[in-house]
Amino acid sequence: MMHTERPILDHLEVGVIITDHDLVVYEWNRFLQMHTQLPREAVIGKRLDELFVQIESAVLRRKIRTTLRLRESTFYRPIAVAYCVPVPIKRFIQHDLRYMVQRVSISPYDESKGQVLLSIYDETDSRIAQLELEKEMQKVGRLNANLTQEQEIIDKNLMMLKTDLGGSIVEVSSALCAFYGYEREELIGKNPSVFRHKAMSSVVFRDLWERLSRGESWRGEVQNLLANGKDHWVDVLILPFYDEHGSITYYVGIYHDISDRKRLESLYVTDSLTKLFNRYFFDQQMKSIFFGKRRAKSLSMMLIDIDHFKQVNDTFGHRSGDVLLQEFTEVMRATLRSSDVCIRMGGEEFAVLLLGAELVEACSAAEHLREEIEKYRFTEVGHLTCSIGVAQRSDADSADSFYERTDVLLYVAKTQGRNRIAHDAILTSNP
Amino acid sequence: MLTPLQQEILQELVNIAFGSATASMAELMEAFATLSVPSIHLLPIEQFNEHLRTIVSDTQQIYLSQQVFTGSMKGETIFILEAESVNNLVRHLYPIEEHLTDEHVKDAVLEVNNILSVTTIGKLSEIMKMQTNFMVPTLRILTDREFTDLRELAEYDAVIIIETVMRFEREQVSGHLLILTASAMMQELQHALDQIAEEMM
Repeated sequence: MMHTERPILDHLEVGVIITDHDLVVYEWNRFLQMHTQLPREAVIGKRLDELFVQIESAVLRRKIRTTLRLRESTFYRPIAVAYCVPVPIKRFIQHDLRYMVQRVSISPYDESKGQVLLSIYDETDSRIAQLELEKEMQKVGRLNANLTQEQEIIDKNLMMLKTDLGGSIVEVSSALCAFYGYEREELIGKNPSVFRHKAMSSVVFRDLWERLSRGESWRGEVQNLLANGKDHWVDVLILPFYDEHGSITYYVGIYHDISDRKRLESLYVTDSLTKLFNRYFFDQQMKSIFFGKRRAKSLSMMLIDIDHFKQVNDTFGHRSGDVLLQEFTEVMRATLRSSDVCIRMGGEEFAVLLLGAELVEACSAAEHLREEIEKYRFTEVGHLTCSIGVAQRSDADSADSFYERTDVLLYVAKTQGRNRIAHDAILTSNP
Repeated sequence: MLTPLQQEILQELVNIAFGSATASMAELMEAFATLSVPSIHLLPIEQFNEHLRTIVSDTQQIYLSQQVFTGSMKGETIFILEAESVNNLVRHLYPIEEHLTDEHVKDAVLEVNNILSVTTIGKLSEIMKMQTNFMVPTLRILTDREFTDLRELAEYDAVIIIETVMRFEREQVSGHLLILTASAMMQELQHALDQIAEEMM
């Protein structure tokens, strides 16, 4: 070692060792003295693999041999312990690294003596950064795996489709294909109207497109047709998706099979004998009408009672009574408008809600019904009559007062001799 | 890019360099090693990725190490080994009972790349009286032919492709050594090759 060289080596911010193929130490610079707490005198003349037993001496020797043979630098990254010379890390770091991570360049020094110069670079920071990155990448990998798994779960279980702005299907989930009974290729490029049931009013779809064109989402219950021709009810939510400029780029439709619910609902509001709506449905309708949802239109109500029905039951038996009720229902259906809502309130009492009908129209319909009943010949009991109370909702009415008023009118019709209608304004009788 | 004469001289120089590389490899790897006579051809950089696709199989992982060299002779070497060759190399370099990690595998590839680059480029620059200095090699493990992200190659204009097969006694290690250079460097190389041609006349 030349005298001028040592101060240079001592000022370097890297560890420098001069050694040979036998790993004998000839120079040990200040950087290493400071970091290892081993003074020059304790190291010079000793062998590296004696001083540091963990050193990968076979690999290091091979690299030194290569350097001397090639007369060029070689590069050594200690693997098993990540360091050539153990330097404990004293600063606070939240890692498992206890020793400085090192990279070593091995350069020819004095070829005549077979000596090389080991430059030891501190790579702890980049190793920490690498560990952090690996940890983050593992997280990303896990998230991606979860995402893929979730996408598969969604695809298999959630009925979804994506359409372009023109309404053509561009993506469709396996669950939706399976439900409707189509292959994916059959649906791509088609409009979701392929599922449309003829019973669905075009008003529903007009409302849908109006909302979507305003950038709003749409939700509704829709009767749809499957590929096999069977019909199903679905709850459909359609959401617009926007790009970064705020323009709608596509729509996503999420479908949910509600056929079972619809069947249950239908059972819940249907009278099992006549298949008309039941009292529960009547109460629900009255609630929704009188809580302001449908106040705009006029509304009239009929309450109908079959005259002397008890005698029918007593004379002909309950089965005949049931047949009579079914036939009575048929006459009601045939006589009234399809928009009139017929309800069996219980026993032999029926109600009809006439949406959009003024009292005059309601009375006319009631009178027509009374006449038709009077004319009809019932299979087992022959002729019979009915009494009808008719009222029009007033602004002062509540659901209860409207019903009670109509019920009073029915009572009036009964007490005035039956087979007649009684209404708010004038009592009309038909002997 | 090179005249037939220049290419012939370059082939001869590379043969000499590889002779030296073979000897070094045999000595340094402590095994009887042979290097097949290298085949050389030149490509414009635009065809580089395409060429890579022709020399590696579809399915295997690729170990691609890069080493920059600077000086009057400058450029970058790319050394490519497929996973099977890497396994053979590692089996040769380390005792069979040793627990090997990815780091051992990477170190083995980098070591062979370093020896090949230094012997080949070093010998070429020595013959052509040029100076060169080698940077630390780096390694990437690529799958699915992810070559397109080799963006840093953009600064080079030409690729000298030197393909060789190494054999370590029983283990066969096939590698591809590619030398990337800029057009300025190619001119220097052409000039040096012309000078050698003149000296040979």
